[in-house]
Amino acid sequence: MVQQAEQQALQQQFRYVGKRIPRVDIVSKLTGAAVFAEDVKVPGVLYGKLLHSPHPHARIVRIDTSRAEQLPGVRAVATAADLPDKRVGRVVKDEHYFARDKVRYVGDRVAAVAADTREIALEAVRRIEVEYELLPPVRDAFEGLAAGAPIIHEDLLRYTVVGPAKPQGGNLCSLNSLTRGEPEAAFGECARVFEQVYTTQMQHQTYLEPHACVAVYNPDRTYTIHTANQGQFPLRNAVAEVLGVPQNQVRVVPAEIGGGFGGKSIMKIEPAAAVLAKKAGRPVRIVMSRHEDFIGGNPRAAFHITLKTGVTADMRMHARTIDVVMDQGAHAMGAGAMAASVTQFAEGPYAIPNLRITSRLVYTNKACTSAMRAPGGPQINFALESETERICAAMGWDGIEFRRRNAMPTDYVNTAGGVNRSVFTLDTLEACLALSGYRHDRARLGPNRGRGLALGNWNVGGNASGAVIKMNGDGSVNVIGGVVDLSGVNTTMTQIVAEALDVPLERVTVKSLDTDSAPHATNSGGSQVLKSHGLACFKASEHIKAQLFELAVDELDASAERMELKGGQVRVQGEPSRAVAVTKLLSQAQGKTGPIVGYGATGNSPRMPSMAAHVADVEVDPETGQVKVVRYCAAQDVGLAINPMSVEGQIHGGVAQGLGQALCEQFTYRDGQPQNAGFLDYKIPSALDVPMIETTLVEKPSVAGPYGAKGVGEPPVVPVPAAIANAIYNAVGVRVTSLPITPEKLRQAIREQERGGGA
Amino acid sequence: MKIPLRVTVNGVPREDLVEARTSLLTYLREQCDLTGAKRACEEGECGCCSVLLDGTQVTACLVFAIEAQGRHVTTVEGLSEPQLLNALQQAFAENGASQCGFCIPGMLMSATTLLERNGSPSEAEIRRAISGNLCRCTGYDRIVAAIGAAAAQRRNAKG
Ligand code: FES
Ligand code: FES
Repeated sequence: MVQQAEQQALQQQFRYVGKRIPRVDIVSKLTGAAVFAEDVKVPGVLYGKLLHSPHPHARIVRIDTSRAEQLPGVRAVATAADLPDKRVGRVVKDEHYFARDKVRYVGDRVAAVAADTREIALEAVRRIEVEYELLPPVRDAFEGLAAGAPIIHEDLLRYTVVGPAKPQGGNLCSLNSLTRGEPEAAFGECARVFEQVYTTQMQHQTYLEPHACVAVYNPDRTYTIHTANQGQFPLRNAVAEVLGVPQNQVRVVPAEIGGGFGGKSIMKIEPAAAVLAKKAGRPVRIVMSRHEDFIGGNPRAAFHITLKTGVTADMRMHARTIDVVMDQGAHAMGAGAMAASVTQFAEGPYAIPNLRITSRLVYTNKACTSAMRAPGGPQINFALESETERICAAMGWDGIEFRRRNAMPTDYVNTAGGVNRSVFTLDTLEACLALSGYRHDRARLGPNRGRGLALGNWNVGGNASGAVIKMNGDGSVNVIGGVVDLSGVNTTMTQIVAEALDVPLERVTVKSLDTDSAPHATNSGGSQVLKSHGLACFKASEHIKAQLFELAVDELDASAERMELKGGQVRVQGEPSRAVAVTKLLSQAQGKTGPIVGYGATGNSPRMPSMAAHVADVEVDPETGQVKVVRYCAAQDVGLAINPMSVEGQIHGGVAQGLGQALCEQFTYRDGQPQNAGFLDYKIPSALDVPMIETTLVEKPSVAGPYGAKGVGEPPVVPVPAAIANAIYNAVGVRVTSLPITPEKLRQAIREQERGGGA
Repeated sequence: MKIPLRVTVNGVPREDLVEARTSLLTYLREQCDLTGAKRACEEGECGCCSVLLDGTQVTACLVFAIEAQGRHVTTVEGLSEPQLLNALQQAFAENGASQCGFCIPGMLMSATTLLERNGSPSEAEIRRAISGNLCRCTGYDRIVAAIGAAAAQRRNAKG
């Protein structure tokens, strides 16, 4: 009750922030008018197609493109020979955009063609002859670490490293570790020590829109690229690096984006389209097929997690070690950054005085894993929160009391040495218990039904970002940003600016513009847009205000510090009659300072946990092993929800993706060959697999975001697999320690238990 | 070999020449300039390309353009007057049913077909009707709610 009252008081302070408004782009999204990358119309456009490696690991002996070039209708063919001989990469520079010496996964880019029609392009790709000398593939991370394993990157230790990865040689791309206290010694002080291994699978983002782009080579020798990517600036920089041109010569125009979830935060087909456009002298469009999107995508990495946990008699986790081995795939990409970030967020929602987290990121001959919604988060949480319940079951402890005792408090010093501000672990837990009636009717769920709880964290940071606001003569504003509108960003920014300038929503237009026009900004991902771009928009609004107040000094005969902006007027605070219309100041500005333009920017900010607590009810069919999710409740610590409707939407979507990870999705390889690269064999949850999702927002303003807001997109995916695993355990008494918990796996575990060998 | 095609698209009769192998989806996107129906798998697995053929939802990637000979095709662009929303679209807007929006044209087609046949669908019936339309953003929650709301609103309007 107290919380509700607090929440109401919080929302009443604001006119536009905290309100449920439909997305500003909703009409275009509902009428087919929204222009996605494949919909961009450019006259004279050619069809581009890539040739991918059919082998997981092979040396390229020879590439002959002449038969493709001779085919009528083919306008250009491109290979590594058309690009500077330079390795690129965001973390470790370990990749030639087109393979040069070797191919390292099925799907590695070998060549590309541009032709008059799709059919000709496909035929041309088939006509490119590549002679390979096959090499034995590294099929998983442990094989990669084994002595005598084939080496995927012979020159690893000579590569340039630009991110937090720490290459060790062999196939070990990075070894990262953080320690608090003395875990090894502390295990000796514990009443009991638990050890367990958990494994997770490769999961594909499966955004519904495949990668697509259109590239134009302009007469002034610049490139224009329309694309579906999560960040026009990081992409522009990556493309410029591949092409070997200065960044100003590449203009990336963000198209509407049909989902990304991290999978569109890496350059993909854009450099190929650009180089083909230059060679052909015509614009080139490339659209990946669903098959290509699977084999050439950047899925979530499979983790192998070894937990060792020491508990004391008073229900405290006193010591823990977490060893993570990650199956990275052929190139470092975003996973290189994850090796380091895992060592920070893997402490979970708990305060453990003696802790060591070690991660090993291993090259394998598979698709290059990278960010997927809360990269590493649900994998780690599956282990942590499954283990919470396993320990409590063995000790006869109450899982909720255990979590309460070990919960991470706010202002806690994290493993990286920073202070976690505005962390509300227990509030989030209690909110979820209340929402779900956790204890209430647990006993009455019925046979083969069980309820599971998991508490999870995602550590949200903020990246450098700028925003510009132009105030027009009538007092309306245009906000210009360089952040892709992935999850309602433009709507949220509209609300923030409307609130800050006290301007009605319809007098605020927010656009995400191309890289020539917008101030530099970051990827739309990692839930960090509010903290970065949101704050930049807020500061740009403050900058506008400062200029208006300065203009009003003479008119109001008051100092700028005493003024406020309200309802289209600048007023002296507390004296509403001493006021001047903003429009009047704006026309005066023409003769004085010139146009009113606000600029706001933020630098990188540290990552701090946001909490989510989930409760799932499942029904297990012990004959088939089929799991049905019958109810789902999610509570989340959101700071202040700028737009509760959009925040709830993020939670719904995150839960559904988590259910896929928990129960059905798995991108599989056999001997380096992808086995299910398509929707037919890779199943994501349909409307029949997801229940209605009950949510509650824990609103306690954060010190870090505008109006106390926090990033919200990643946390809801984190606790899902553990909540499901715990619910299954409570339903049938079987603990499955590997994801996904498929019917076959669960049925087998149930059989084993019946035979007396199980958990 | 191009084949003459007569078809009514969003109420407008057309005559075009199409290749025998051209899918209805490619025809609509590339010859009719209607890009509302989306290309996402071309295997009939995702529903993003859904349109109405004589009032019933089909996946346009699996239908040949010539199969529409003499028939009526409705795409998302034909559901409402330009820049306006029909009642179903309005319900999607108010319920926050669209996020990235890529699946939404297809969802609207399946929902339209459902509501034509069943004025008061249960939650289970709604879910079944859109089970061939994948969405990766919304968890289906708000989409199901929006379709339910649109049905209720229709019933009320009919009184
Ligand atoms: S594109 Fe037609 S069903 Fe996926
Ligand atoms: S709204 Fe993005 S796929 Fe449905």
